[in-house]
Amino acid sequence: MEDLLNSKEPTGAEALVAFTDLTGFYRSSQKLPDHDLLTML
Amino acid sequence: MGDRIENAGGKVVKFMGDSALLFFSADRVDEGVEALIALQEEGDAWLHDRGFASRQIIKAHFGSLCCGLIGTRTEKRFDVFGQTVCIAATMRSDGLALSAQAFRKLSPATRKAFKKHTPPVTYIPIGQRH
Repeated sequence: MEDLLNSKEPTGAEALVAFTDLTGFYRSSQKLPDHDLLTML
Repeated sequence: MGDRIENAGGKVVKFMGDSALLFFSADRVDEGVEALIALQEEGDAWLHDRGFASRQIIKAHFGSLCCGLIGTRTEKRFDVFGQTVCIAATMRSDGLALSAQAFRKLSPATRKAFKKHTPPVTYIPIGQRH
């Protein structure tokens, strides 16, 4: 892991990649104060 | 989120607006998926506690990619590129979803936390690629 993170040249690897959407609640047309959202990060 | 991912040996590659891209090397897939399960549960609870009827969305895929310290001439940072990233980004999820490739990398014990999910069947024109 550390080798990959510090590789100065692009390196081929196999890995798990995940996307997360922190604001799925926007779909419910509800709005959360932006500063409150930052506490999740 | 940062603590949850890093304590599992992963990396928050970047935040993109309200989304985040997460990375776990091949030897950390089980720890990574367990962290994603916890992250999704915590995210849902966080939203629920504030009265929002919605869920945190997480989708994960395992495969080959290109990674390293990449960027402009003056600023380089760890990033990931390739089809694996695109597949993860475009997967459908209503909560937490793993691709079949990610599921197959799990240990038998971690696999027990998941079930196969078949999305609704759709019909497309004969000449259109699947």
